[in-house]
Amino acid sequence: MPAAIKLQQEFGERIQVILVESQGTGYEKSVGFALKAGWLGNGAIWTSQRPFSTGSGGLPSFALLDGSGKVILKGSSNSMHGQIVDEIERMVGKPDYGDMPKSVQKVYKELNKGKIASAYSMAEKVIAKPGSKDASIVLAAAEASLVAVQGRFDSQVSSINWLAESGYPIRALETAKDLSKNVAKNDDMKMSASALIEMLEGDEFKEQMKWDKSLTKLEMAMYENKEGDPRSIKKIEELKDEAAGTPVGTRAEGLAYIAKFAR
Amino acid sequence: MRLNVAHLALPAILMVGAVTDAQVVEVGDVPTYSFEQAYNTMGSSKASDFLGKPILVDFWGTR
Repeated sequence: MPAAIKLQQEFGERIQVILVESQGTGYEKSVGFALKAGWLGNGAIWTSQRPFSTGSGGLPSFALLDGSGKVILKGSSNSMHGQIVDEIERMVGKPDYGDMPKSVQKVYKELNKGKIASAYSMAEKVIAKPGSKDASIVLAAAEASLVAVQGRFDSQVSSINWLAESGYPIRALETAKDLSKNVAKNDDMKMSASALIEMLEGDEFKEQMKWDKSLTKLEMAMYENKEGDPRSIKKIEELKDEAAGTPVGTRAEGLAYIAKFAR
Repeated sequence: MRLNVAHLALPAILMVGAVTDAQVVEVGDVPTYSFEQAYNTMGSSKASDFLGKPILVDFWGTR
């Protein structure tokens, strides 16, 4: 498992590691165990619910899925680590567009740079003028790319809302500002992003921003201190009370709850 | 715009959804799954939320 955590740290947001406690220890104890071991705070998701089985009968194992959600490798986590790394490097390196029309490849390349509005505009242009060669194939691919671009935008808006609703207003605001830059050339998208920024910079979030900053520091102190850090736990309890009834308060409550299982 | 901050219950760690616990996957399969309870999901709780990036699902034990 530490090897999987290291992969999350090395590849960052380009991959997602999901760590599944599969021997029935239970959610609270397994996350508490991870907290005590110093394994939280790196972006990996922790759960005790098996999303599916690899058929290993409870022995340490893994499944590696590609960007389309397809299983491309599975087996023993320990003996196949090298293969896992090779496959991840292959996937997060140069994308393989197969026989996709070149004009549509450009849309995805732009989208992968995060330039949502520009990708949207490019897709619209290809749809308007798919060219004379293989026009129906180009048109279908371009329409699919437009759906993908709109989907990326919608998913970023959903993510910002989730962060704001879940006690991470600072990260929500940062993400909204990034989104706003990336959709500057699309009036509708820009308007939505600006509304999110305006909301997050409003009075409702002023105190929550302050609490979020404090809680994030305490969270990191908890993650870094393998003994459970009683001082941080006490401060988290205090912050939980101070921010009670707000998303940050609820987030503090969740962290204080997990911390109990690390003691 | 959707934003309702008044009715949240441990949103960072509790998620709602079905889990196909007994599904044994093979190479080439596209499994569907979601989590009812997970930590650090940052809003991603089901297979479709992760599309676009490689996912390493690592099964481990504390015993």
